[in-house]
Amino acid sequence: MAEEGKGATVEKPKLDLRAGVWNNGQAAPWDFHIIDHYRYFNFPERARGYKPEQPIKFSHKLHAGDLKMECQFCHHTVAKSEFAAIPEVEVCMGCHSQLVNTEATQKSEEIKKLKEFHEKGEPIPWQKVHVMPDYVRFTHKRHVKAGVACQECHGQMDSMEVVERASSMKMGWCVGCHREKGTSIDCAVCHK
Amino acid sequence: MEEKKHTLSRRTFLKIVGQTSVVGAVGCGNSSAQKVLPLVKGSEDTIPGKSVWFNTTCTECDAACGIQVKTRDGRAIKIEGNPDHPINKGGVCAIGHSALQNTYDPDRIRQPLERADDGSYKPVSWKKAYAAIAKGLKAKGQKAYLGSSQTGALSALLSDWCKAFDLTQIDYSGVSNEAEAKAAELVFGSYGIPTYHFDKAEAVLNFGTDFLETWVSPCEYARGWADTRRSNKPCRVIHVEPRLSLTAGNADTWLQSNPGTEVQVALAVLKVLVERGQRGGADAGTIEQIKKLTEHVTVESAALASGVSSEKILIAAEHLINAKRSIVLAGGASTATSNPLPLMVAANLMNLVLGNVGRTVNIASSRKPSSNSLDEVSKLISTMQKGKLEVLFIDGSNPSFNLPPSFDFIYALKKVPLIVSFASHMDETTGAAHLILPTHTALESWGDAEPLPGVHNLIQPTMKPVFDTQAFGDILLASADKAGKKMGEDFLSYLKDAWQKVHANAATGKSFKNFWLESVERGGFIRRVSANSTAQVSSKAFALDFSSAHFEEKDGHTLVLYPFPSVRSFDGRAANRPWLSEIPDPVSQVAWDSWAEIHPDSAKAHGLAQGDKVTIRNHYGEITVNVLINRYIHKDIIAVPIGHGHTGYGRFAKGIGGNVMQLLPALASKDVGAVSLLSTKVNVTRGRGKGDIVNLQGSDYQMNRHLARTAAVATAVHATNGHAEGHDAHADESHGESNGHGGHHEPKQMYVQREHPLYKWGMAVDLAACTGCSACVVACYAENNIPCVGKKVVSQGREMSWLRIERYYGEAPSEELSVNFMPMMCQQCGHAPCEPVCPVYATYHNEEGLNVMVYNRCVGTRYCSNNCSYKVRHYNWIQVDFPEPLNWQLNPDVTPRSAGVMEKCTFCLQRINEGKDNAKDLGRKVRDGEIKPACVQSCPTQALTFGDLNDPHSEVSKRGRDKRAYKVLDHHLNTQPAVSYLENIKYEEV
Repeated sequence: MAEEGKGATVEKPKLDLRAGVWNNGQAAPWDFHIIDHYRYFNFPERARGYKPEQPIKFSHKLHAGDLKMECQFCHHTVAKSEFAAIPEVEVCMGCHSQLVNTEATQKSEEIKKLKEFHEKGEPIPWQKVHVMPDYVRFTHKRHVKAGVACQECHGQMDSMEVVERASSMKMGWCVGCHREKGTSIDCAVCHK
Repeated sequence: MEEKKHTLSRRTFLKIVGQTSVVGAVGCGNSSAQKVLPLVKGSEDTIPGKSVWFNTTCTECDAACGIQVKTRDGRAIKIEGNPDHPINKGGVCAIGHSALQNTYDPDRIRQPLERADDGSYKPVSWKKAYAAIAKGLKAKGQKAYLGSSQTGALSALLSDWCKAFDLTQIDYSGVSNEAEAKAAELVFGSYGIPTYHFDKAEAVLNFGTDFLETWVSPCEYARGWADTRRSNKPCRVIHVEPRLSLTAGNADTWLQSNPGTEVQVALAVLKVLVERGQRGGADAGTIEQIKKLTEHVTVESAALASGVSSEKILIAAEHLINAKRSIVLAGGASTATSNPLPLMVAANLMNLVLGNVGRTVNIASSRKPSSNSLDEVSKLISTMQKGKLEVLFIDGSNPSFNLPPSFDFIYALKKVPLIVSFASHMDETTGAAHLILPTHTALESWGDAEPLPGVHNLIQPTMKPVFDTQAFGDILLASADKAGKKMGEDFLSYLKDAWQKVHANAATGKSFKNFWLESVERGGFIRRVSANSTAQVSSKAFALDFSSAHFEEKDGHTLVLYPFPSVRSFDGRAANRPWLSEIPDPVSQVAWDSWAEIHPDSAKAHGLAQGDKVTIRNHYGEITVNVLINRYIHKDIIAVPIGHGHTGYGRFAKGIGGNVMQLLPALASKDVGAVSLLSTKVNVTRGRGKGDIVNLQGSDYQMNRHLARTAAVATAVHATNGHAEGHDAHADESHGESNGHGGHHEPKQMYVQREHPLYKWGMAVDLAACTGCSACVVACYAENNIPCVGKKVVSQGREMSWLRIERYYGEAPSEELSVNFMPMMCQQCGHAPCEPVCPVYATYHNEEGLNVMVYNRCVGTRYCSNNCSYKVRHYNWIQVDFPEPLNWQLNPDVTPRSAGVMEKCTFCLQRINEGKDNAKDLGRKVRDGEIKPACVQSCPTQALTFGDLNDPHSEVSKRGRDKRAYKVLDHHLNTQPAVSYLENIKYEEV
């Protein structure tokens, strides 16, 4: 495990507010960024601001922001399953082999990497940013169907060049939103 | 599974604590970074996080039940019964569930192996393995295939393959029901075990068959049996056997007979039937022959020989005569004498004269059991001993283990220059092979089976192979190809070709492609076969020797050895599956062991006491196992389960008990090619060392606490009928759940009554339908990632089973035997004693009536467990590892618990959540029957029901209002459980 994390760079979180993120990603008022971030209390990978280097420099800003692609175009299982699921390599190639096969993209190092993975038939080893503990049952499907916007938990993905963890995802943070929206706060809803 | 060893001295512990606190202050050095790997190629069927189900067929025994395999991310994680299948109708037995652990067995053979000169195995490539096998196939001289004849297309391919390469094909498959099939041939004219319709019978006279546990098709029979037990006219079961088996325990009357004398009882009953004018479908000639046959038998002589009193024999006959439809059965362990046919013939003749044939006994739809030809096996062994056999091909049937050593098979094996094994597991026989080509298990391969005429089952791969193995069919085809005789491309196309015939016979009007796809989707194809055959009694039936069984005996041999198959080890093939070892035997409640069951009087006579080991010895061999003293076993027998005592199987089977086959003579039953199990007497002495039997039943008797209750049929059935109109009308009135059976008035409540606005989940357990088969227990292990902790930990009372089957012999030892099986899971009490004592609020009552347990909140004080009135909470004393790849089976919807955490049943919370989720998608409430916890789903008899108690029309509410319903301990403790039990019913006396 230790080796896997080496590629990750952990920047100090910015102290500004994160637009659209529920309760600014904090579990409680006393759940400051500094505590949230610091290793004394948690792994940096589980703190807001976690921004690991990815095997391919995929830009959400370009795809979701500039090109205005729908989230569900790529994360197509988000309304069907517990998992939003990282799109299959095939999905990336769907566009990049034909539609967007311009000179500029052909030159791009990142797309070359993508094509390499596709040719080898290997999955892309993305670094996980939003990690849920094993004992939590979280279902994307129910949240999306209830009209929770992606941004409320994941932040403004359309402006992120590199994906970063926008919320603490602590239990208090989940429960806070559940309380506010009047949904169940029964332990059995999330704890499995 | 493996227990982590704690060898930590106090000093080291303090050191570590000191260091950790420093590390804790500095911060955690470890990284918790995780990777998330997407699929490379998607498909519409695979959505991450969603299960994919495959309909296929169980191949664990010959019953061939339809099963559904749940896969998640390409791995099979759960087996459930196929509700649309005509045989099992949705249930699966314990062995069926454990097929998963067979596939994920860490001791499976992982790649082709070749034996080096020093006896060790080294991996070889498939190419080399095929080259070696081709050489073997082309070898001149005698060659043979010894093993199971397989099913369906594979069976045809195998015999073609054997013919093509001039191999002598010899059938051998361990436990077999050939005698039953032969006896049916003698009386009914067609070879095969008839289909028995228990649901239509009013009386069943059963000579020894354990049809609720292992005999022929237990799921099917148990369902039929339960259907009549629940009806207005429950069938009366009279069981004749020297040992208290699971079926004997569930019978209304158990007549204990002297071993091997059942045939006398059968003849006496037959005589009475004929004398009382029963004719049924028998013609005058047959009746004459029966009269002649029973000439010298009287009820008194039968009573004298068998030890069953003559009144009881007469009453049993009386019940058969009075019943409109009945069944007479004979088979199983107690009939596997050296001459098993006469008893079965007598039973079949009874069916004939009672007119059951064509009504409850369907001879047109009969099963062909897997066959054994011991004569040919003996011949083969002598060829081997002479060194004349060049090549021997074997499969996983394991004759070295389950053939008595007196056949000298093990020594003969050493004389064969080349032994090729097609087994998926290393066992005693395969361990002697020179070349091993490991095969897929049934969950990984294609295949088919036709257990009953018209029931075409398909077996399909549910996942990619776990190891570098190949399907048996493909190995046959590829090796034939390499040896120069092309027989086909691959086994799938061979199978499809074979199904062209099924397609043609089916005449569905669909193209073959559609027919095939539909069949694969459904798990097979069911065709109605209408063949009305009439019984044709063969004269050979009366030429048999109808005397009681003889036992081989030498000086000092006092007790008859009584080997029997059990649901835990069957014939030995299931011995390396931790689930089956961990669950206790339903009747004896012994876990992780084999045992010798003996009557207290005989034990005393032989100087044995509870907690001893016993050495059972005769001139063939000796074994030493633990003693289990049981007052309900016949004084003349010592019963030992088959299938334990492996020496070369897997890690879980190692060091468990002894192999009872070692004591048997090299004797095939007369006219039948199977090992004669009940054929010898043994010498019994106290064994060396202290016994270490693990018995999980705390008390054999209920001590008048009325936990598992039994009502007489006369009162119970009447009451159930009465309730239908009388009680339902009051459903809406607030009689409430606490209005249990105790007859007490609504008690004054000290605590605030909880409200359950939307759902209130509850369960009902019909003890009249529960056979104690333990399928639910294994289903629970599979669904909830329950660890198997091993013999030592279980012996400390620390088993993790969330659901257990309690077995009681009655209220008090002084009373007459009345066996009760009672599934005991968390009762989800309304006023749970465990909740208020939790200091960290890890367990609490939720709005849906569940007693929720939050595992990562638990700090392990164990107060809740101490306060639980039902002993259903289990504490993780040790961290248990699931050795790779057993951990592949873990259910991702349930978190595995770690050491120091209390765990328990929550009615499969993950399934409730899934059910609610699906209902929410459709914008409605959960409908009755949509959510089924693993135990409820798996129950072969549907004894368990789950549902919403808020809905007065749900099945569980209806059962909860039944007059038979009561709640365990509620009248003492006012715990207000959400589980209702329905009293068992039994006929009072014969």
